Amino acid sequence: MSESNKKISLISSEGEAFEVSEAVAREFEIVAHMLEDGCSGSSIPITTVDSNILGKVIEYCTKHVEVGNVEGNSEKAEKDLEEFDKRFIAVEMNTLFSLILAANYLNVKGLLNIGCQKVADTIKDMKPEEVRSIFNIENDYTPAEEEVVRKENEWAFQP
Amino acid sequence: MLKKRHGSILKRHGSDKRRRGSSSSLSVELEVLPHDVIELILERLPVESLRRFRSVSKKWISTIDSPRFQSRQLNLRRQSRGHDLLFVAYYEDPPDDVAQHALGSSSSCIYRTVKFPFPNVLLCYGSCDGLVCFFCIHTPNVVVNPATRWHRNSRSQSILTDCIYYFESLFSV
Repeated sequence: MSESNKKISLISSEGEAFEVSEAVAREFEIVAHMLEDGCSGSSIPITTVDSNILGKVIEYCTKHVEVGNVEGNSEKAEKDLEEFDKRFIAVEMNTLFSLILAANYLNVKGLLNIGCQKVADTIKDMKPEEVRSIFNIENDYTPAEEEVVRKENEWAFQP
Repeated sequence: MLKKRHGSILKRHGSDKRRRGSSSSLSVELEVLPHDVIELILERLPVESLRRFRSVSKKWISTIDSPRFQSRQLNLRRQSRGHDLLFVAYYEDPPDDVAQHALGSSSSCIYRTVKFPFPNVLLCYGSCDGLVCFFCIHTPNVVVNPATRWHRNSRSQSILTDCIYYFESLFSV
């Protein structure tokens, strides 16, 4: 692509500009669609994502574009990328949730996948009460209804 | 007070009054994820967790019990870790009407004991996607999902034969 060296500025909610290559910006599907729809401006406001999170999402996309550009992708490169993903996602829960929301909004599929997987791994063994608290979910069962649902689980996996 | 919240990608639906109980483990209040994102997370959970999380809320139970969700969850789990259930061994027969079996999973070396509500010596023919096929000597043959307690008995030889062919096709590769 002749335009691969073109730079694009992504503007965070605080108004901070992040200059990235067009290839990296296109990793945000929402930006890719804007560009395809003829939005030719060199700066794109991402008004709903703050600088901290936008910076991280750009870091993720940059790494993935770099690795994707290497000819004859080796097994080692893939392993490195896996390691990178693992380290990248090892953050506190509130940062993780913000990353997931940003990835969902900007439509960065790879990041959304690893973020959701990380949350799944974290809550896997939790009690329903803990899960409600993490996701800020109201328990709308009556105690009697809740008891019925809990009972349905009893047969499975008894110790 | 919380620090400035990251972004305002989505309005916080669910004000603080919706927050129930105290979460001593979480000192920072987290962003509220929309339900379509929560579904993406749930799809990545094993069946045991999903069974437990049916009691989180009515919205969660209707998601978890919906066939559309279940088939997506199954496909994802299949891609990510192959056969869930590998090994079934009969090892004890405590009360008359219950038989205990140990189920193992290859990828994570997890095993647990499950009580099936039928006695007799069972021969496990194979398993796939969490279903276990048993050949019983004195009772009807059964296909069981030990996680959900779904099971189907069959005296019919032809159904058993179908099952065996099915499992053979899975394990012959």
